Amino acid sequence: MTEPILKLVGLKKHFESTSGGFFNKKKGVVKAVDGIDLEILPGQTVGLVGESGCGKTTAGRTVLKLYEPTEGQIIFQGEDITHLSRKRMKPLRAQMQMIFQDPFASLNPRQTVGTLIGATFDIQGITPPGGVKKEVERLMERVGLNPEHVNRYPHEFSGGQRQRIGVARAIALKPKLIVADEPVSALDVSIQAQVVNLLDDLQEEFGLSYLFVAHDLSVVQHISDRVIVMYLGKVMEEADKKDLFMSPRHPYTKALLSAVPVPDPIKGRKRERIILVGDLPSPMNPPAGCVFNTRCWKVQDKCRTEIPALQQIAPNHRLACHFPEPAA
Amino acid sequence: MPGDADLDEALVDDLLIDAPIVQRTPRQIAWMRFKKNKVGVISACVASFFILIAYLAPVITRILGLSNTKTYPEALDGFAMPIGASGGISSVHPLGVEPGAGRDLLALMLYGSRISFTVAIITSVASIGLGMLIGISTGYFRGKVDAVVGRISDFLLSFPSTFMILALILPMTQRIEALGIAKDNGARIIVLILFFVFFGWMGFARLIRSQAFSMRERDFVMAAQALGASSFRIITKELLPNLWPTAIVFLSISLPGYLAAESVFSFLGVGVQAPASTFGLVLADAVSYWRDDPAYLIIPSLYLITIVLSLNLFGDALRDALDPKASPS
Repeated sequence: MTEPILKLVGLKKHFESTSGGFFNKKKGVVKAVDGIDLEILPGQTVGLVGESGCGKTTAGRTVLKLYEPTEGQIIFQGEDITHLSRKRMKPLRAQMQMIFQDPFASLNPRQTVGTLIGATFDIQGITPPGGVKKEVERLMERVGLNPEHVNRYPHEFSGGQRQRIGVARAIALKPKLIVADEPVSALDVSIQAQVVNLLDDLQEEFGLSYLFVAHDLSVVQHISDRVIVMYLGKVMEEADKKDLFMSPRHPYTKALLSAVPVPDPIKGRKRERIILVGDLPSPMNPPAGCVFNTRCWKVQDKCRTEIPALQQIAPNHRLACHFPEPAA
Repeated sequence: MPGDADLDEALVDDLLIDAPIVQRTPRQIAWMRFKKNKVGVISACVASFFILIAYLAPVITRILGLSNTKTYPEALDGFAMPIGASGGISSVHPLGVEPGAGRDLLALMLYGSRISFTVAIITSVASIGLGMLIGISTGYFRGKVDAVVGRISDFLLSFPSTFMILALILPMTQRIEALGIAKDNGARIIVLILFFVFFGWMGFARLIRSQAFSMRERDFVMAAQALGASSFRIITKELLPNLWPTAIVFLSISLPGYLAAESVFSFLGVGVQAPASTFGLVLADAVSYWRDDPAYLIIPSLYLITIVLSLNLFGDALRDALDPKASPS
């Protein structure tokens, strides 16, 4: 078995909510990410899905140590990086990059494209063969931008083009792992396909691994090899893409999948639609037992008291539910 | 989320798809917006004209054959009042002469505004520099330092600074003179600048702190962190370029404020002293003559008002031009 490029063991990220000010009284703890295990193999794409506020973005950022993990382990290429200092992290950062959700916020409005992409080499102290300028132009061409626009500012580009700039910046140092934090959710559907295909092509070319954070299941279905479903900071179900989409076992996964629009209206009308009632509970005060019990339609007394463990139910299929759906 | 300005730009791009696309830097865009604002352009011209003539005071007075130290007894009557209407305005003395001593008013204004501008410019630049340094570091690093500095600035903001300056200016001036750093008016100007800066950095520091505070959560800062950029690099390369417009606007708005403040302290008799002349000193003197020679009060007042007003309007126009979110005027 090949060694995973990234391995998370019980990763937790809790945010302490404080009153602020001089005394900084503790008010509560937000358990944004509450114990995630996952493995990403080289060249693999793992989709991380869940609704807004479930902690998927936080998980992505904690993997890159943009947030200091509270508990657990991050193992990158066999090396435990959980508690590496900023200085020791720096050379590793060339190997792991990020693509952001909002292409309007992720590019400094006062820097030209050339400066934005070139900064990667500057920060890491690397001079690419042929010089920074040439490399930047090559990267721009690779992601489908006109290299003549190297001196333009982000405001002169459309959303899709800006996201390409973000992609160029992320691949500039030829990383092994890219955390893509909802990279297409801010774009038009027509542009989404282009960017997703670009990410696909780049994966083949450079042998990249992606941790693909998203809430759009159709995009995840297109790009992922494995899918992890998160709810309130916890993993609900994890399986190979085909397994998960064909025979979801967790009620939450089933509900999510039933919300995906179907292009055929006749088929769509026939389909059973599960509508979840209520909102995501506050991660500051999660429900006892299974975190999903407040919205689950199969809820029993056991769910309110006992936390279901994430168990292997089939090869490459893990589930955290007391009353799983029958396999299809 | 895309801002309104971005949406507008995208819309314009779609409509003018065939038009040649002109490339513009943020600075050029600001300049284009500024040029459209007539009030802003005029006030910029007026303000730079007054600054220019203030610093060219020796040249201008020599060309006009005047001096700020010479008295002109021939322009005064037997009661030491200027001869002629409107405070003795004539071809020799374009703004008239001072009653009493009989100095030329234009020369006094030119030399006086030179002192006022010097104080205002040094104070503005120093307090904004200090505010920038404190604001950006507390906003970026947060934590305990931020809390402590925040309370110190609260304290200074609630402090009755005017009384403190009035009480301490004399001993401080003597101290500086004793140390041999400067003498007389030089020492008084140094003390005044020190006080203004000491009580002047908080407003700007707070503004910058809040901006740095929100900006450090923006994705582009996180992108730099993901690349392994140091805090120094993030502050200087990512945050600072986005904070310059605020600093420039604040500078143009605080400049007339300090100009007026310097005049107030001279007027109260704690700033620059005679024989030097500033707006405050001339106005203080003019108050005792207002019944007999109103022009002596009105002309310097108008001179000061014109400068302060043009600088203020210029600052407003600059803010509109540099801030894309402000309503277009």
